[in-house]
Amino acid sequence: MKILIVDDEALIRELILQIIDELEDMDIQTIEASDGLEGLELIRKEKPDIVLLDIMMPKMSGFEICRILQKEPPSWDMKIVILTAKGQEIDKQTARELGVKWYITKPFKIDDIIKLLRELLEVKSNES
Amino acid sequence: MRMSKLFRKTLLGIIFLFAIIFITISVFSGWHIYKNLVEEYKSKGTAIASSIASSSAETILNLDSATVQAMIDQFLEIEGVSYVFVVDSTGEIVSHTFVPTIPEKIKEIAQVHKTGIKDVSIENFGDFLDVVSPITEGAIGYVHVGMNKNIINKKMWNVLAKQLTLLFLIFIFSVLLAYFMVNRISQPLNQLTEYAKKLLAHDFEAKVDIKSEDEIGLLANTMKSMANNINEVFTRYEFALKDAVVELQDTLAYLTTIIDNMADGLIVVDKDGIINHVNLAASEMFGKAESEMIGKSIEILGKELDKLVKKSLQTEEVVSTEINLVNERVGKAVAKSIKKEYFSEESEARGILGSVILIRDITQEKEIDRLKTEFITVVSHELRTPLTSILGFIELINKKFTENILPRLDLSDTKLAKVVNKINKDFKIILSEGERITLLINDVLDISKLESGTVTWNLQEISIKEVITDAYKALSFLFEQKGIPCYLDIQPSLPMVNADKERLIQVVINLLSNALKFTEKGYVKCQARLNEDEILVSVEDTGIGIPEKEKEKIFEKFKQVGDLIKGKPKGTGLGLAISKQIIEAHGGKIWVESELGKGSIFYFTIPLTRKEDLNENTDSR
Amino acid sequence: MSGAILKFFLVVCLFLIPSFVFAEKQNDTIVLGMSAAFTGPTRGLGIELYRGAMAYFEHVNRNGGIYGRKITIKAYDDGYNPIPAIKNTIKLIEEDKVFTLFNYVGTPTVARILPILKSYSNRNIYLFFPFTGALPHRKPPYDEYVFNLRASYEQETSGLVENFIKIGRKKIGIFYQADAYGRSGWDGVRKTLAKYGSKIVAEATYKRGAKYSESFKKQVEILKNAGVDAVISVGAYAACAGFIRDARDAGWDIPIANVSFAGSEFLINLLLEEEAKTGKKYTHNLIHSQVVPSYEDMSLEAVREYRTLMDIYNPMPPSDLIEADYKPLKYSFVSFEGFLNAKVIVEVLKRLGKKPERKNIKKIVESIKNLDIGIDEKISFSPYNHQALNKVYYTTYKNGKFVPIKDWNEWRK
Repeated sequence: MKILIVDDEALIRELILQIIDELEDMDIQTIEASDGLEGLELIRKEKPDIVLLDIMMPKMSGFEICRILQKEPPSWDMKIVILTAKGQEIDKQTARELGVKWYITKPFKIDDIIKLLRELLEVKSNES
Repeated sequence: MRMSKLFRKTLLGIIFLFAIIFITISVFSGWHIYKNLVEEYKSKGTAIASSIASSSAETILNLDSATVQAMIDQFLEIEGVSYVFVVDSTGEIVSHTFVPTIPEKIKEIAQVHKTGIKDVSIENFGDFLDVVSPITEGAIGYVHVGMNKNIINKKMWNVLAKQLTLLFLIFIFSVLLAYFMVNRISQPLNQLTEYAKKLLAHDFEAKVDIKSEDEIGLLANTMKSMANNINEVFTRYEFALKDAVVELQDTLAYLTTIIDNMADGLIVVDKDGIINHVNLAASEMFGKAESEMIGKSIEILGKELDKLVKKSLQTEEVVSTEINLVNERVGKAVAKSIKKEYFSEESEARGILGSVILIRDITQEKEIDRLKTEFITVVSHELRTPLTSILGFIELINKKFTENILPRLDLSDTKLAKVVNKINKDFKIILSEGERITLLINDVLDISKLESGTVTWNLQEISIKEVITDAYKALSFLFEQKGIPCYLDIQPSLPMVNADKERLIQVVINLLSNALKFTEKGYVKCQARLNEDEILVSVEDTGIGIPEKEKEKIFEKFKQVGDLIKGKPKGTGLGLAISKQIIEAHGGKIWVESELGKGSIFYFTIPLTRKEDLNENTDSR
Repeated sequence: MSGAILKFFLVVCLFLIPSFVFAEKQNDTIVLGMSAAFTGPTRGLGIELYRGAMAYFEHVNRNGGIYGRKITIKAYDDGYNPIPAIKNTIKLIEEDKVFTLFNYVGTPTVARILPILKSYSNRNIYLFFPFTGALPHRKPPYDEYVFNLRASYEQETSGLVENFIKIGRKKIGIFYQADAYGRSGWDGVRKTLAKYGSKIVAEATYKRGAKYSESFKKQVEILKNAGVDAVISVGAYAACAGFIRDARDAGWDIPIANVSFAGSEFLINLLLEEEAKTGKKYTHNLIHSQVVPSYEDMSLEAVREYRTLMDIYNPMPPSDLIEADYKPLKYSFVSFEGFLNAKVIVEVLKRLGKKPERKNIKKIVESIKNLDIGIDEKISFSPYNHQALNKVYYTTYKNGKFVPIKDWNEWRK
């Protein structure tokens, strides 16, 4: 299982990494990207199963990545979870329009993340 | 000289009058004369007859007819006497004056011995009044005197002819008199008419030469002074008009200058949306020359503007919208219909003549707004990011402490146990306060967006019932936790309203959570009713209540009843301010009724129909 | 009114009497007032009557007058109309202060002045010998103021009627002037016929003053249609001549008799002129009754004297009184009558003496008995008889002369 964390904030990436660490029982490989462009590249290169995507990032925003992915859908099953400080309804709507089902606003409760990731991972492993 | 109409009328009048006089006099005096003459002739005849009769007795007895003849002859000289004859007692005519012989008719009459007057008509001789007078009571004979009726007629006609001749002369004289009189009247009248015509043609220099002191002269003088006055007035008005025109031109130029120099663009369209007027600014805003726009439909300036104008032409309200200008600039267009003061109810346009559109280049404002929003977004983002880290890591620490460290500690050590308790308590404080910061950030973001009007409303036909139940669901856990019942009383089959559901839920949650927050015992009750053309929602609690002077203040930012009373604030203090913004944005009202110590009822209304689109409307406020 | 004027005159006259008497004494002429027709259709009568009288007066005047006084006639024209006659009479009495009235012509005129005479009776104004045969002045109440020489129309017409009846002409018609004169003749005819139990078969009148030139066809027609045997014409000569002319023109040849007033010579002259003009005969079957003997009867002393004096003096009325075109007749029945009238009045004036006074006139005249004036009848007056002559002479025009009718059988029917 591959989870890509795209966030320009190293501390946030570190937090998420530590949260994922909590899921010790799962075989999770994490990849990090510090900006949007890198994130997109890694998505294409690493083909992660889950992408934890920030929106406000240098070079390319999370929405832009989603937009591109909407145009060129990935060949594999990839779930995008937006993790953002933008909590506006309009942002959530934009995400929905871009086909993103999961949207978590910062600051979040780590249990929520854990719960979500577990759910997603379990679904994934059940599928495979 | 042509006959004046006045004279013609007068002439007709005279002719008519004279005709009546002619006829009246003819008939009356003819009749009168005839009657008088007949009477005169009768009395004359009678006098003659009796005179002859009285003096001829002896001579007849003497058989002297020549003497009788001499006597009767002299009476023949009297006017009107046509014949005289004397009959003796045997009925023989002893004297007579007939030439060439006694008519047969007379011979017959002579046999009738009867005193009196009778009409006799003798062929080839004439008509007579035969006056008979007896001589010595008829014992000796009778005298007949024939009075000529033809002479009566002749005399009558003679008199009539004289009268009529006289009348005719008077008539001629009257006509001449009338002619001169009328001429004297009509000539100056004609002059006056000519004069008046000249005046009509604005020839105030025209002269009229009438010096008579009668009404005509008076009229002429009046007309002259009138002409002078008119001339004066005209001159005055000419000057005034010139002044006015100059002033008007100045004003117009001034206005034109103002309009042309206005920073805002101005476009005037008629009721069909055809552009009538465009100022320089507008011209620049659309990058089109004035000539390219005037006379064209507003459509050429974009769909939004067209839509705006169409809307404006149907209402008297001010409507506005944002439009795109050239060079990627943004403008705010405000349109107001121009309306006639009076119009018939049936008229389709309801007196609307057109619309005035003012366009302001709001690119900069937009930019500022955008910057402000961005700033807030960035600030909140920048705040949230470290907050996320702080809270995340604290939680992780807490989790790890709880899961990994705590089990390994000997909690029998009371001191340690105390410390662990304190650590747990501190974790919770940090998390709770972190949550408060998060809420605060969210609310600040919300209020700033609401106040700046950059909120995008998600308007849909929604059910108030759903709003309330959804809100309650979100809070039901808290109510249960606190043990306060919450009664929902929603009128069945309430109509749908066009509103932003999430926002209304936010309001109801806000009110319910407030109610819960300040209620220690009793209940919370939420009601929804249809009140005329709006839905009235109330949230009632049995809490501490709100002092009268605080009622208005609580809807202000960062004000909380709790602050003032218990010094135990919970929440950001922005909830009611945000609610107020949301309700008012929907066209509703929010207020509170409260009795200190007994509880409060918060009300808000949502109108069933909103006049304007919420998104655009809020822009213009 | 006129009565008032009359009274006024009377009063004035009473005051004037003394001066009048005085003036009379001083005057060496005796003025006789005459009103007659000197103009008009009957002018011949007035003029010739004047001429006849004046012929004798001239003779008397030339032979010393009457006790030195000359006799003149103050004449006025009345045109045969009553009103001028009345005016003339008053003028003659009041202004001209004539001694007496004399030689008036015409019945209608004389009949009308009779009341004047009566009103002047206190001044003894008398009318001598008017040229008319009418009855009014021969009968009361006026007969006492008038003295007549000639026979009356009644006498003239009565004779004519009797003669016509004798010759079997019983249906007598009368053509007369519609006035007192005509009525007089008519009355005579009527009365005479009455004696015979007969009546006038037809009558036709004409208006006084009718001219010869006028038409009398109507009158002719009336009488002719009535089947009249003989016509007695009582009119002035112009009308009578006109009637005869139209009768003859109508082919009506019955005898037509004219009375003395017609003035036979004038009548015949008019018809002669007509004969000359037309070539027809108009002067036959005409009978003229006269009241004086024929001036052709030279056996009579008066005729001889008349002719002589007329030849010598041939007097004319004042020229202002007559019309210039008048041609006087040498002799005529009218002037002869005037001559005889003059002879009688001269005798009366002589008998009045040197100082003639009017009051004596009546007495003097009425005392005249059997006065011979040289004709076949003597003159007598009396208080009861103011008409001197009664004889009527019937003449007819033959061979240019008036000859006495010897035998009426000429016209026997």
